[in-house]
Amino acid sequence: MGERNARHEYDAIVIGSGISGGWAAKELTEKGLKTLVLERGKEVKHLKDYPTTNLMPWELQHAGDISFKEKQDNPILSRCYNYKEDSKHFFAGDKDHPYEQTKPFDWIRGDQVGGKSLLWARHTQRWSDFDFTGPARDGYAVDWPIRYKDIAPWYSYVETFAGISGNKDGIDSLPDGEFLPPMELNCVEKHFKDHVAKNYKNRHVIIGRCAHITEMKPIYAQQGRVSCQYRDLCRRGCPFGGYFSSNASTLPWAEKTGNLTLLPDAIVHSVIYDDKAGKATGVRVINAKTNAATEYFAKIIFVNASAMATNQVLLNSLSPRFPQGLGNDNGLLGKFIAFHNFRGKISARYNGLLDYTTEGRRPGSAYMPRFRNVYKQETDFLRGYAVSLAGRGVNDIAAHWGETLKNELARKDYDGWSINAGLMGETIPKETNTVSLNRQQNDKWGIPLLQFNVDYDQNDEAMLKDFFEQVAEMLETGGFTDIKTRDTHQAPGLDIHEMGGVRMGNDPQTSLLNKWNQLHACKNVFVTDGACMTSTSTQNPSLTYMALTARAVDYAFKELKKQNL
Amino acid sequence: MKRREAIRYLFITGSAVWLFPACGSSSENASQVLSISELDLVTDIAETVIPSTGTPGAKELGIQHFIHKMISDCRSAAYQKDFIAGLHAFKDHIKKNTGNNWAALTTEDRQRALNGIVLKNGGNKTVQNCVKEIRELTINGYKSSEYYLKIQDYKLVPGHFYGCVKVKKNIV
Repeated sequence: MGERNARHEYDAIVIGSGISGGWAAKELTEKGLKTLVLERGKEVKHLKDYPTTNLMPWELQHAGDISFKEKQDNPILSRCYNYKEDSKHFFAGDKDHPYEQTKPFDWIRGDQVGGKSLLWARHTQRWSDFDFTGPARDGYAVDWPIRYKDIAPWYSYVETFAGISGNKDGIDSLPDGEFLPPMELNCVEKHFKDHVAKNYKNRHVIIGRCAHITEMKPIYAQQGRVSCQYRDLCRRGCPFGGYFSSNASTLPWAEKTGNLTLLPDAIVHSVIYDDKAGKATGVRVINAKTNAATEYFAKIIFVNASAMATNQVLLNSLSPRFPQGLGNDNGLLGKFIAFHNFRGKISARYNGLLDYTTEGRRPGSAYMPRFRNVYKQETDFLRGYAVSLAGRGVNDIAAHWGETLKNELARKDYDGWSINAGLMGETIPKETNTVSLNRQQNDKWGIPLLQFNVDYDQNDEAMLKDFFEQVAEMLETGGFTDIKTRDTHQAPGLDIHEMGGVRMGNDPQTSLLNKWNQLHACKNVFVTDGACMTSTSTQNPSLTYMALTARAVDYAFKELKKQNL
Repeated sequence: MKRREAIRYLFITGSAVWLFPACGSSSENASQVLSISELDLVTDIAETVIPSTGTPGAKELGIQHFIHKMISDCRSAAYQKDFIAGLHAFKDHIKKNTGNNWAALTTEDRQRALNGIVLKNGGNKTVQNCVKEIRELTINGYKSSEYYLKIQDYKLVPGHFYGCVKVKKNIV
C-alpha cells in the first residue's frame, strides 16, 4: 500500500492505543481493514521497553520512592498510588501535559503506546441490568440504549481473549463470565467472606475478577503470553504477559495481520469533518517532537483517546457544520462527567488465624459487589458502592530494637492481620460536572487546554457516610478491632475511573452516541472509551469499554460493507 | 544466632558483598546533604537499630548510604534542615536524658535511649522526628537489601500464590 500510504489514506483510524484503542485495532485489522493507530505518547514495545521489569528490590535507587524533585514537578501524579520509581516512565508528566482546574481534578494519564493498560488495576467485573437500567429506574442521566443481553456475548468474547480469572459466584448484580480459575482469598479475607455470608443477606465477599492468565490455553500461547507468575509488579510491564495490556495482547495481534500501522508521538489535534460529504474524513495530527502538522484520512474513525482526552479531541473538532465540536448539536458534549468516589478507606485488625500465612504475591484483591439499593431503593441516597478489600499479615515491631528486631523481621508468621477496605461509589452524572476547552490557552502543541469543573455532591457525601457505617459494622461483628475510617478528601479523578461527556442514549436531543457508540450526527465516528458512559455504576469500567469496542467494530464493519458509512 | 540460620548465612555469604538500594550511586556525593560527621552519627544510630550480631548489621550492609540517598533525593530542603538540626541536638538530648555521652553507652543503653525517644513522644520533636526517620529508613533499607531478601528466600518470580498456608515455625 505504498501509494496509498503516501496519501495517508487508510480504511480506519483509531485515536489512542490504550485498553479500548488496542481492542479497536485488533478487531478492525482482523476484519481486513487497513488501520492507522495514532498514539500521542512514545513507543513501548512489549518486553523490549519495560526497563525496570526485572530489577531486584535492591537495584532501585530509592526503594521505590519518587524523588523530591520529581514530586515537585509532578504534584498531581505524585498522588497516584501507582506512580513509583519503577513505573514513573509510563505516566504523562504534569509539566508537559497541563490542564485547568476550575475545581480540583487529578487527571492521571499514561504517556505511551498501551496507555494506561500498562498501569491499570486489572479488575474486570461485568455490569448487570441493575446497572444498565439504573438511570431509567432512579431518574438520572438518560436511559442506557443497551441492556445486559446486548453486551453479554461481547463480554464473553473479550474475556476469552484477554484472559479473566474469577470465580462463578452466581450473584445477580455481578454476572459470571468466561473465567479462568480464580485467585485465592487469603485467610483473613476468607474469614470475612464467611462472616458476611452467614450474617448478611445479599451481601457477598468474593475474589475480584481480574485480567490475569491463571491457566494456559492455546489462545494465550498464540499471543505469546503465559500464566501470571504472582510477582505483583504489574506496573513495570509484565515480561510474561501475565496480565492483559494492549502492548502484550491486542497490538501485537493486530500487527500480525499486516493491516496495522502504529504511529507513536502522534497527537491528534482534531477530527476533520467535510461539510459537503456530510461525514468525517480524517484527523489532523501534531508530531509530539517536531510540532509538524499532518493529516490522515479514513472511512471510519474510532476515538479512544481516554475518556477526558476524547472529549478534548471532539470539542476541538470544529467545522461550519459543527461549530461547538464534532457531533455536538445539543450542546451536551463535555457534560455529565462522572467518576467513582474513592474517598472512603477503612482499616481494621484481626487478631486470629495466627497459624497461617500466604505464599507468593497476589496481584489483585477481594471485592464486595454493590449491596445498597440493588433490588429497591432503601437509603436516602441514590445507587450504591462496591468495596475493594485486601487483607495482609502484620507484625508489631515498634517496640523492638537490635537483635530482637532482626528476629522479628525474619519471622514468617504474623502477630495478626489487617484488612483494608476501599469505597468504590457510583456518582450521579450531572450537567454541571463538565470539561470544556479554554481557547485562550494552548499547550505546546497548539491544542486548547482542557478545563475541569467536576465535583462531589450531597449524594456522594451520604454514600461515604453509609460506607463507613456499613463496612465498619460488618467488620466489628466479624471480630475485627481497631477499626479506623478515613476520608481521603481526594479530588475526583484520582480514582482513574473518569467517564462520560460523550454519552450514549436513544435520543439525539439528549445524548451524543447511539446504541452502537456512533455519533448520532456523524455516523462514521465511533467513541468507545470511557467518554461514552451514560452512567458509571460501581464496577471497574475497563472490561465494559473492551466489550463495547468489539461490539461497535463489528457493527461498523457491517455498515461499511453495506456502504452506509 | 541459631545454628540453622548461621549455616544459611555462611552458605549465602559466599560473595560477601551485599547490595542495597542506592548502592550504585554512593559516589554521587555532590548532591548529598550530610557532612562526614553527620553521616557517622546516622551510621551509629542505624547500627543501633539493626546491629551486627553474627549476621550483618546496618553498617556492614551500607544502609547509612541508603539513608543518606533518601534524605538527599527524596526530602525537601526544609525537611533536610530539620533532620540535620535533629542530628545536632541528638547528642545533647542523650546526655540530658541518660546522664551519659552517646559514645560511652553500650548497645543496650543506646537501644533503650532510642526507644525512649521514639515511643515516649516526649522531649525534643526535632530529635524525635530525626530518630524515627532513621529507624524507618534503616528497616526499609534492611528489608530491601540483597542480604536480607536472600536470607528470606525472596523470589522475584514466585510462580504461585497460596492464600492460606499453615505457617512453618521460625528457624530463628
